[in-house]
Amino acid sequence: MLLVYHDSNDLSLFTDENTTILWEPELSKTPVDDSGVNAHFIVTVSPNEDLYHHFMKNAEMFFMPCPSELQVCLMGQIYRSFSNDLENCPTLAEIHQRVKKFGPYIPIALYWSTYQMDEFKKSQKREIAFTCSTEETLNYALQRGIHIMRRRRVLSGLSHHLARFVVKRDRADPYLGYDQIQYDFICEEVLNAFSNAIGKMSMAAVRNHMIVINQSSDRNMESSITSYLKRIFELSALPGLQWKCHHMQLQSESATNMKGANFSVWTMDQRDVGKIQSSCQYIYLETCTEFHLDPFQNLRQGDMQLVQFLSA
Amino acid sequence: MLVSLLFSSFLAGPIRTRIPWRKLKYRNLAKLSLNDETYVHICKKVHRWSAHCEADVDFTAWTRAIQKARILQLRPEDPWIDNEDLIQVKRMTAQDLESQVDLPVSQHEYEDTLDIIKLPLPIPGEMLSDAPQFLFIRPDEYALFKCLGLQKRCILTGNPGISKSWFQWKFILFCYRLDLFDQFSPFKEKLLGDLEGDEPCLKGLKTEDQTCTKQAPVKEPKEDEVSFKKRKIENQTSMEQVQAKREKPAEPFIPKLIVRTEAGCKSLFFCWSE
Repeated sequence: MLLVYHDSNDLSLFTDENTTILWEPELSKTPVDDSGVNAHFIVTVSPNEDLYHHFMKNAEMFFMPCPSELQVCLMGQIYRSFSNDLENCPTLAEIHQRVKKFGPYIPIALYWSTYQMDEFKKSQKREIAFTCSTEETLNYALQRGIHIMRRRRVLSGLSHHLARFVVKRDRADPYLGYDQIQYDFICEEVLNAFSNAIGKMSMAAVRNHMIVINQSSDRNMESSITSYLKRIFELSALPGLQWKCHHMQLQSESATNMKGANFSVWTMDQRDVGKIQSSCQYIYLETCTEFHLDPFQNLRQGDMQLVQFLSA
Repeated sequence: MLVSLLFSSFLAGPIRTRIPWRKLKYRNLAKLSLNDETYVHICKKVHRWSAHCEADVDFTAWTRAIQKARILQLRPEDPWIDNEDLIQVKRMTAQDLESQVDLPVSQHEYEDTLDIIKLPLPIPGEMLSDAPQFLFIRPDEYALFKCLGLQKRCILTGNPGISKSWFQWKFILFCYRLDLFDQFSPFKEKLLGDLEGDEPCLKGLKTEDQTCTKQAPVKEPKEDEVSFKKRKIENQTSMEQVQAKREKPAEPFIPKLIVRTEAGCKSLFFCWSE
C-alpha cells in the first residue's frame, strides 16, 4: 500500500487501463481532472456540477438513493452498541423523529447536535415558506425538471432540505434504473407542508399545473402529483368527502401483504374518469381502461401511478 | 514543487479520512514485501516522476487482513466475534430492531434489509467513526457496484449525508473479495462464476434475474432527462461518443489497481499482493 502526494495531472503517469480511480473531492473545490487518464474513473460527489462539469460530458451519472428509515435505524443501533458516549447517541425513537423531520440523512439521524439540527430546520422552513408563498412559486418549483443540483452556486429547483433523489429500480434496465433522475419530498413533514399548500390552491391553479405535467410528461416529483390529484377530487369529484391518497407498491411481494380491509377503495370506472375530464380537462391515468378495482393485480411497473382514494 | 505539495497537503489535511500525517520522506519500498508486479511497476513510476510517496503500514495490514479473512455469516442475534481472521456478516431486517419503531411502508424490498459487515480491522482512516470496523451495505450498493463497473467514467451522486464517500470502501472491499459480493448480493449471476458450494442468498432478499447483465438495447432518454443531459452532451464531438457511452460491456470491470484519491492530490494505491 502506498500513500502518494502528487499533482492532479500526475494521475495519468501512475495509472493505466487496468486501474480504477476513486475520486473523493473532500472539502476541496478542485474539479475532477481526468485529462489524459486512461484509467476507469468513479467520482463520488454531492450534486454540485462545478466539481464535475467537464468530466460529466463523458461520464455516466448514477444516483444513490437515500437509505430507508429502517436502514438508518439499524445503523443507529450498531453505533449505539459501540458508542462511548451514549448520552449523545440517539435512541431508535429519536432517530425516527429525526427522519420524520429532516429526512433519512445519516449524520443528522445519528450524530448531529441540536444546534446543527436547528439550523437545518430553519433553512427548511425558510425554503418552504418561500416556495409555498404563492400558487405561482409553488407550481414553478414543482414543475422544475431538476432539483438539488448546483452549478455556479445556483441551485436548480428545490434543495436537499426539501427534496431527495429516488431511484425507480428496474431490473430490465441496463443500469437497473440508477441512472434515471427521480425526486421525492425528503420527509413526511415536508410532504405535509406541500400538501397543505396545494390543498389551499384554486381549481384553476391546480388545473394549470396538471395540464403542464400532462403535456410535458414531467413527473419527477410524483408525490406532488398525488397531492394535486387529491385537491382535484376535493374540489370536483365528490365534494363533501375527505380523501386520502396512497401510493401502491408495484412488483413487490410486500404489496400482497397489505391489508386491503384497512382501506375503502373507491371505484374509478370510465364514468368517473369522464367526470374528472369534464371538470378538469385533464387525464392523469393514460391507462385508465386497464384500471381495475383490484389494485394488487395485473399491474406492471411503469403502467401508471396507482392512487387509492379513501373515504375518511 | 516539494514545498507546494507539502503546503497543499497541509491545507487539505486529513479532514475526513483522518489518515495520520507522516513524515514525507522516501521509505525503503522493499520492506513492503509485496511482490506483485503491478505494485513494483507503480513504485518505479512514482519515483520516476518525483511524486512523494510512503508505505502506508496501516492500510497494508488492512488490505492483507481483508484478503486473507474467512467470511462468516452470523445470525442477527449472534454476538460479534473479536477475530482478525474473519469478515463477519449479519443481514438485519425490521425484526432485528431492539425496540418498536413506527416505520413507513417500504417502497421496495431493497429498503427492507441491511448487511452489516464487521471487517477484520478498522478502516485506518476512519478512526473517529463510532464503528470504524463496520460497513453498512444496502442492497442498492451491491447494484451500484455492478453498474459502476459497466462504465469507464462514472459519477455517483445523491443527497448529501447518505454515505456516498463510504461507498468507496465498499467498492474496494468488493474488488478484493468478489466472493463476498457473490455471496450476499441480490444477483443470481456470480462475478466469479458459479462455484461449487455457493451459499444461497440470505433470507429476506430475493435474487434478481439475470437480465441485469444482458446486453440491453440503447434506451431513449425520457423527455424530462433531456434538459438535464443536454448540457452534458453539447460539447461532444461526435455521436459515436454518445453511443459508446450507452453501450455497456457484459461484465463489470474489476481493476487490478485502485487509486483512491482526495481531489487528485493525495492518493492511496490499493494493489493486489500474491
